[in-house]
Amino acid sequence: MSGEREPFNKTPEEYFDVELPIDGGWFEAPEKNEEVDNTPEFLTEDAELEDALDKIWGIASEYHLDPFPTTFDLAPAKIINQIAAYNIPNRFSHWTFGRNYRVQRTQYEHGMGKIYELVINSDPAQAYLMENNAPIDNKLVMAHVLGHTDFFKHNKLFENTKRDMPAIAARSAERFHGYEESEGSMEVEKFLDAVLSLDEYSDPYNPDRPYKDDEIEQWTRTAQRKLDLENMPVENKFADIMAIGGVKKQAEVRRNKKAVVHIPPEPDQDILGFLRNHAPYLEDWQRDVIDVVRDESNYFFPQKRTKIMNEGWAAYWHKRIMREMGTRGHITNSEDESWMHLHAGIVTESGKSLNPYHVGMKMYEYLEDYYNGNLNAKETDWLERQGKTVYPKYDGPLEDSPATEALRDIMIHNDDQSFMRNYFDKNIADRLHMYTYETKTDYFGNEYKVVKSNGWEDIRSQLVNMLDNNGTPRISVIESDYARSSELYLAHDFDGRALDQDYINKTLPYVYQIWQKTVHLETYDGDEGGKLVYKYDGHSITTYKKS
Amino acid sequence: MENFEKGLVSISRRDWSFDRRGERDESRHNEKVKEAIRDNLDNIVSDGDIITADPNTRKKVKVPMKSLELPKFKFGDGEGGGIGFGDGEGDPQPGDQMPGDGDGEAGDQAGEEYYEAEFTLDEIQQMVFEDMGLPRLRPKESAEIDSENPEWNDVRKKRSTNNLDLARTVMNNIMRNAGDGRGVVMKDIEEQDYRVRSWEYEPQPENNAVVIAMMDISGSMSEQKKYMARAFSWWTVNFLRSQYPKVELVFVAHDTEAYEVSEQQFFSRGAGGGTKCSSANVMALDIMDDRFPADRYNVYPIHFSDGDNWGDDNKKCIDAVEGMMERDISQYAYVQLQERSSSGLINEYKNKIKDERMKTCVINDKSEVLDALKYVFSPDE
Repeated sequence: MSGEREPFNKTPEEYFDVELPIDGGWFEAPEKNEEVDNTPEFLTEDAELEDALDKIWGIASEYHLDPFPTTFDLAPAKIINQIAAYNIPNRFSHWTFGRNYRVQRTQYEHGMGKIYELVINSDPAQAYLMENNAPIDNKLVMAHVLGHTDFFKHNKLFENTKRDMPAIAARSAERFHGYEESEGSMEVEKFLDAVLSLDEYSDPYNPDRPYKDDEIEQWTRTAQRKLDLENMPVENKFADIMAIGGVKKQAEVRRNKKAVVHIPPEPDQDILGFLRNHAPYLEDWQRDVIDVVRDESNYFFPQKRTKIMNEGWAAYWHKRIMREMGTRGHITNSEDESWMHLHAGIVTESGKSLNPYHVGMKMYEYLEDYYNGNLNAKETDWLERQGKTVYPKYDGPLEDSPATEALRDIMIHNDDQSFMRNYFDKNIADRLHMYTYETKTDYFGNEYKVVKSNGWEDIRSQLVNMLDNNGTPRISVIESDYARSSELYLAHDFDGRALDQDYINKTLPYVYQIWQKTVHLETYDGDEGGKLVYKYDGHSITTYKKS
Repeated sequence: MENFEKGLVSISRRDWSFDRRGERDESRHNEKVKEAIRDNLDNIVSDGDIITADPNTRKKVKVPMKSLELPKFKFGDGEGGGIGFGDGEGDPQPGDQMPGDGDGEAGDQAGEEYYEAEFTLDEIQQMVFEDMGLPRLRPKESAEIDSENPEWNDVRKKRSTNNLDLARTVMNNIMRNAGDGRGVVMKDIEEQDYRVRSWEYEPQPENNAVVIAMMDISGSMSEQKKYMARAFSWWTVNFLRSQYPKVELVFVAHDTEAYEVSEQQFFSRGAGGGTKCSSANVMALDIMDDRFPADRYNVYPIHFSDGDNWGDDNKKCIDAVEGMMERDISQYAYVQLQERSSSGLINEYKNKIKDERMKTCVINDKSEVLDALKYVFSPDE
């Protein structure tokens, strides 16, 4: 039985729909795993693991990895499954996490896949090892985890993530517990349902969004500045910059018109932040709930944007570190075989699906060969015909190679989308035997899939599109006083892909539940063209056309 | 171990046994699954797999549901397309059917998380039968005494095996000792102290009941109509068997003539010719008079037809039903399969029979079976 399970046995776009587990990371057993009862001798085992970890860390440093200090907890499967279901230990309660837990647990119990690796992005980083795993499996996991904690520490997208999120999340969970007692657990659950349905709509680049009054003040200042500028005689427009001495005088003259702030002044994709600040009838506990969900969503954002890069990085390095462990005789020959077997399972190709471990690792390996001049003749030939740089062959140790430095630089400055846009080419497409397909419908309404192209540029643009905005439609708040009746007006930024109508019908009422007044969602009418607006007034969904 | 000493890495174990968050939220999720099933019950009730299941089966019934997901704004499925990976041997060319497509239907459904909730038929029945009951069920004089229900309501002095009432025996002994001036103590238990429990058969009035199910199998009863009638009858039979195990069932099928049939025939009987609804009603009347007099039975005739009946036969139906009412039946139900613009029978019933024991309803679609069931079998308030 293959240990594959979702999301990696789904097709790529489906996979990207899935709420990703935290780190990330986890991967699945390639095959059956012998359960080792280690309780009596767990102390010896711990000593063995500690010894290996010390050496793994040492080798990682030689390869210029610079991970966060990392704590490994040996935990039973139940706990590993649970943390994977919640993505953060001690996070607040919700039935969707219960559903995840059920899925993880059932799969584990039926031997259909188990979580090997779980690491939390924090400083120091917190990782978990499955108690019953064979020691060699855990050694590989440790090497893998250090790849992640290196990535967490250095990739640019993670610059602003809150490294104390586990502690923050635990405190939030405590407060939520209090709300359950004061408001009733059904009230809290219902509100959380609504907020979580919008959790993609936060703003990781503005994590500390000002609260309502400060925000309006800020917007007013900006609007006033803009208005003043418009009303100023042309020759004075640059007075602020040009004539420092004249500034005060100018400022006095221009206070004649008061700016009216449009809320929001510009389309606002941070729907949660907007609702927290401007939904008219929220209670304090509800604002707190929105704040927490938004905060956690911001925290997960970089991980979702770097799934391929991050898993690829960890797989690329665990392979090299473990190989070195073998070379130096730190692991036995039979252990050597074991980890390679597990590794093969992790990076296996899986037909229709995009396995981030596999694709990511292959990308880095291709780039290693590229920068170290180790491509084959056909690959070099293609690069030359494209007029691209071909690097001289490098034979020295990996840690001093040009590739190692170049890869670190790439790791630091990209997310999955730019990684593909910048570094995906014909050679990697060929190495991975990739192609694009499209879904068609036959005469009887059955769907089938047809290979569309194996041109690398088509594949690249398919990848880049797929990775856009984590596969989430872009929707913004446009108006908060629509029809002058405090109605909320949202607009979908149409990019050629239509929204699922069924899901609009189910999600719009959630927006209403928070806004508590009529809500509109403008999108594009796929059938007839033009703008189509969905409206929910607390009773039913209706649609109307808009020119 | 220098990296440990520098605090860069560490390995630890701790006690996790108090962490039960996963279980707690899982059980909340399971509750929601049940709620969802309950909300979806009208479709489940007329599900072909269920109503053909052997009602005595312990087998689990799988109820597929579009998992419990939290809806979010997302792209439609129409824009299907993605990336595939070949195996390096004869990689697929444009226009080829995608390798592996078509095998494994379930895989194509991915993206939507399907959740198969497993229930035993019992569990589903419990949900369906919630707040259902036989209306106007009254105790009727019963010829047979039910010997299955002894009442342990008597205490006797005679000692018999096994049934010693220890508390009373001890109490008697203490009282006797006290009475004899030996103090309030328990000692020297004698035969006269023994108390044993005994029983009596209490004659109980029985809620005897019979359901006479009549089904129109004439040519105008399409497969779909028959399906709905059978779904209704299937649930009726199971409802009665599980909640009122002693209820008797009589099955009648009719076209222009009525036949008393077995349960199996009732559920499988093919199509006949013309229609005379009165034939079944008259037969029901005869069956009552012969075997189930209303002074001893609660009688519940129920008739399924599409109402495609001759005008003058409607009159005969009215007469027969009125005859049953006079004989003090508990309820008469007429379930019409599909609305008809000029339906005589249901209107005739509505106009002519003003009796709260008369229940008529229409099932247009199989999703309406559940509502009809709950209407026909709504217990007394």
